[in-house]
Amino acid sequence: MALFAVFQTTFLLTLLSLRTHQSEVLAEHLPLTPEALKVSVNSAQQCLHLQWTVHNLPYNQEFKMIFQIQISRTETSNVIWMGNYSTTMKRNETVHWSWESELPLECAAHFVRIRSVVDDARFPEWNFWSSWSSWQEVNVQDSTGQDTLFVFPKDKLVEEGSNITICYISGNIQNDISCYLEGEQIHGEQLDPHVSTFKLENVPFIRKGGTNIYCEEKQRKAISNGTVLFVSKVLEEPKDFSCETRDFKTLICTWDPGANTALDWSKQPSQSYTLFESYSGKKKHCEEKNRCNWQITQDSQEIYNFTLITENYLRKRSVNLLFNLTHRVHPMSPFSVQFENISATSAVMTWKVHSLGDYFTLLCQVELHGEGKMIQHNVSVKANGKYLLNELEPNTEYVAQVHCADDNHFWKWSEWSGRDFTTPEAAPSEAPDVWRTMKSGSHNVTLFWKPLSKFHANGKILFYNVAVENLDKPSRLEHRSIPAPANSTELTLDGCSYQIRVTASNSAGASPAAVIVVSAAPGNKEIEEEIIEGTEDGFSMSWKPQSGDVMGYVVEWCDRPQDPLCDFQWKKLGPNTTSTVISSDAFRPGVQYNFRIYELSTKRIAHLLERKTGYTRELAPSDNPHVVTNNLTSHSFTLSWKNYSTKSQPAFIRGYHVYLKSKEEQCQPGAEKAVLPDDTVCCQYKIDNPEQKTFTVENLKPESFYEFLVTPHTSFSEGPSGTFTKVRTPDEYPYMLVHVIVPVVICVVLLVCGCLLKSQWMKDKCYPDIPDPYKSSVLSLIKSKENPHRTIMSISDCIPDAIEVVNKQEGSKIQSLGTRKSLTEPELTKLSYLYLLPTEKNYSGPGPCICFENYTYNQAASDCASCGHAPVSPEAPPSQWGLLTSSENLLKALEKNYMNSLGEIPAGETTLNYVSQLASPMSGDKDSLSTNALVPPPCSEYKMQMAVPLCLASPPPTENSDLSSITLLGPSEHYR
Amino acid sequence: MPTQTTGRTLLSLVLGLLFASMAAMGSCPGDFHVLLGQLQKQAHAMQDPSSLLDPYMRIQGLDFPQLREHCTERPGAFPSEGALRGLGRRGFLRTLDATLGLVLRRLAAVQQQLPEAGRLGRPPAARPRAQDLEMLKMARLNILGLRNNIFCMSRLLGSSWDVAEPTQAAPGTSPPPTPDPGAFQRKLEGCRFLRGYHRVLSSAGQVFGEWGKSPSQGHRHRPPRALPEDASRARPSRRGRRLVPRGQLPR
Repeated sequence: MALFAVFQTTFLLTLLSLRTHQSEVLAEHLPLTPEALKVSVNSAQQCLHLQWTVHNLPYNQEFKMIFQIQISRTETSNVIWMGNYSTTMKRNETVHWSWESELPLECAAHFVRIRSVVDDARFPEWNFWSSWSSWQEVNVQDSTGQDTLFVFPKDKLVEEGSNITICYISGNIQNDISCYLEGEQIHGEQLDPHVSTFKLENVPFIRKGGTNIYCEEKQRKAISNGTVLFVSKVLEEPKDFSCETRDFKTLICTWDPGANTALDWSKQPSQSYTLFESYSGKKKHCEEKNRCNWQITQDSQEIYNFTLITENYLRKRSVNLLFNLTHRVHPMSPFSVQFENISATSAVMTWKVHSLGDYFTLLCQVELHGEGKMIQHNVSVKANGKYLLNELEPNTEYVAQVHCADDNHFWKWSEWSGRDFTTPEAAPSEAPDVWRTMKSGSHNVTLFWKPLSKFHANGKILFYNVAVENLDKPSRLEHRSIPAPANSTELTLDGCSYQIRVTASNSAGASPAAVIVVSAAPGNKEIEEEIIEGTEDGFSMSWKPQSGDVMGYVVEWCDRPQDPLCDFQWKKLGPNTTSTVISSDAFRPGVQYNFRIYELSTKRIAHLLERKTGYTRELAPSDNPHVVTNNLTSHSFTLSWKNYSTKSQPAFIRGYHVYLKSKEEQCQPGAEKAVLPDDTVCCQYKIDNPEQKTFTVENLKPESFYEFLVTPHTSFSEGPSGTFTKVRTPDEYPYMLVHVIVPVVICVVLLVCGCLLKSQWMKDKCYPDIPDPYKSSVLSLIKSKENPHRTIMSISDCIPDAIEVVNKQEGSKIQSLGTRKSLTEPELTKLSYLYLLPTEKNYSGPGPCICFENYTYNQAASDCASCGHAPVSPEAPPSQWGLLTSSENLLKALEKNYMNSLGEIPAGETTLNYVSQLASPMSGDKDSLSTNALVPPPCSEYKMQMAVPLCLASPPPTENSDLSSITLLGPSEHYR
Repeated sequence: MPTQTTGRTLLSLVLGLLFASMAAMGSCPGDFHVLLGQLQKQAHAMQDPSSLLDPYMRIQGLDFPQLREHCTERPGAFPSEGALRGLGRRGFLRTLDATLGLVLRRLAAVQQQLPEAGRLGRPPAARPRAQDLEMLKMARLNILGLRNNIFCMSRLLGSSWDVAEPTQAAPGTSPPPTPDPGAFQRKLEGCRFLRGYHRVLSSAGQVFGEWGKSPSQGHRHRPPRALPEDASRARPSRRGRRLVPRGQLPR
């Protein structure tokens, strides 16, 4: 066994040795090395085209051969690619092969060599590699511009998303070079000292003008060179490729071409489209980019197999479409659409279609549009179509249209063809909805009706007929015709019951009648109004039926209750309905709506059932009442806002809040502290009765300021925070004064009155009349004893030249210029004497002035000043005269001068002395005047008066004796 | 910025349509000062880079600071302001007309290279581009209007458009044909060209302004000579004109 194994191994080794030897012999005798290797360059494609031949192939038959190709870059040792190429060839046949370089061929020198091997089972003895051919160098660098920078590839066309390598060759340029792609620097790797490469991956499409890549020398800041990379969009496969015929003469093929791949600078035109039909073998270049017409030949080809081919410089795409022509029929739109026998509810529509042959039936679809609705009907048509449109509405405009499609093999509907028509009018189909309002206390009835809907009007309503029939006594029907679009009329009826029938009429006839009965006794009783809550959706209300004999219910209201016309509305409800929701677009928040619910008896008589009122939404009161302040006292005042109407407010007024601000920290009883929106604290009085429109604020302090605000409040809010009104409580003293002074005044008045009543008594007691000496009994006694001829001298008969008042001591003799005795000498001894002093010679004052003095009474010296001459003391210098014009000055002067002079008079002899201005002396008496110590200053005459105590004085003169009571003495006489 | 652009667009539209319509109607203003005022206004409006250069740069993607810095007028491409001042009036008009003719051709070439969205639909991103393309169209109308007024002024000055008159020749000679420099260089060259165009119009505006300040100039042409009917209807002739800018235009 072991021997056998050794033998077998030896045999195999021998056989292998023989085989090797044979090959060496063949290689030696049959050199199959590729020869005549030629390398050409396509720079744009970056391709090396190789061609070679093998001369030494034996026999003139084809051999299956494998060629191994090596490509080196820059130097032969730098093999960048090696691969095999299998082909069959004959002796001396040239083999072609191409290789695409990712690096532009300009960027570096390339070297190529090839060797071969026979890969044919028929010639196993030749199955060994030949020797390599010699290296072939490929160098496409432009050596003309050693000082120029080149960027490669130049204007290369690539597809979007491709990867591409670019390079620059700097030649002898030593500066740093930066390269940019669309303004952004790119970084590469250096291939050799003068060549750098940049790999760009997934290049995007930026513009048709290409993507600019440029390099600049950093030092010179100069653009050295650049290139444009023309990036084409990827050619898309045509979408929605479809073909159809409308007339069996032409096939129209359409598609969506997608993006245009055209580029600027003629780098790539738009993609082309070609239609190829495989059965006929025909091809057509399409002029347009999205459609192509194909002429149908008369050879009745039914099946078509189209291929749509699109291509540009970079890509070619195609789509296929196989179809039966009869299944791609798109009929042309119908024509001659007509309407016949148009009535109020029907019409006949007719149309024609383009014939497609006797074997074709079209399915036509009729569409009827009207009143916002659309109805479709299908009709099968050969040549002419016809369809009855029924269930139409009178007086309605319709649009009818039709389109058709192949009934056997539906492909597409044709375009629509249509026309419009209008149906004539018909009599209104429904009675108008009628209701009435009755003014209380009169027989005036206003009849309202709602316009009929278009559906029920069946045309334009021309007028409404109103027929009034007296139900209580037989009488003629009263007819009234009201032209549309009126919706109401007013009827004046008497106290009877009436049946009113209302119909609406158009050009085609009248509607059924709406009947309503107005009862003689309306029976409207007082029904309390119920408050209901509304919502944005309306008012929900319910009621209790009163009688079982009910025909229905009516709810009436005004949409605009604040307007005079009020926009009267009503809603009729069935007999079994006891609740409803009243809604209206006219409802507004803050408006109070009033509802009346009537019950309609079977006799069509309406009875008021309930009254409701409410707001859809209550709003806060918009204004506060205008408040008047009354009864202002030192401790209270009353606020009144009686003109404030609670009915016209945007919510139900539930009461009022009275706010009072004061300096007092504590609120009065009945008030509570409240914080206003401005954070001020005040006292709040609450009034819960909306009809209470006065309020008295009490327990106030006198002479204090208060501020008040009255605001209404509703169930959820109160009125605006308005301006507070100020009030000041008055002082309480005037009242006290009134209480004191009035009684005092009354007392004084009473006293005065009493005095007046007792004046005579008072006079007698206090100032009795001065007895007239002439009427004295003493005088009569003298007269009778002495000279009966003696008379009293009249004042006008004497010329006084001096008057001297002598205060005569009892028993002493008063010296005087004259020596005449007084007539009443014994009495005069107790009295003061008045001397008339002579005036100065040169007196040049005003005219004579005579003052008559009642010596009985005290008289102020100032009174005498009224005579026009300022009284001065006899010793007063003339310069003082002018100063002593007022009574006060006068008194002072008197006090100063005369009191001094009077000092010479013993105090016990006189009580008071007065100076009185005297009448100017007569001119003729001037010379007779003598000077003495009592001479008065010039231009004045003075008298000295002496006030005598009442008890000592002579009795006062009577009125009649004022003048006569003053005795003007002559120069030698003394008179009293 | 969009509001300003729209305003300028509208102004350009009005001016362009006004002068284009005048040109179409073959009518020239007979008053020297009226015509000069129009020329000044046109030159002033068109010297603004926002009327042509800015939309061009946006379309080409050159509106980046680095590129904007390098978008400078190529020296010698257009006659300098001094050179324009040194020209006679007729020579100045001819030079300006030739410059504008060159710009028109350049614009036409650029517009040919810029496909519009066409019937394939216009994506939202293409809308700014569409506005800029519209501005290029307006700029072309404006140039046409200015050329028409130059023609009218030339007629008013009594020169025959057909008579050749020396224009300001650019220094140097045309460069030899070079291999395709690539789209990037063409874009940049277009930018420089348009920068020069706006500068020339600015210089032209200055020259026109000096015309207005010179009293003798105004009186010399008053009353204006009635234009021959055929002359007023004639379009500016290309004969007898020499292109002033020497720069090669990217096509």
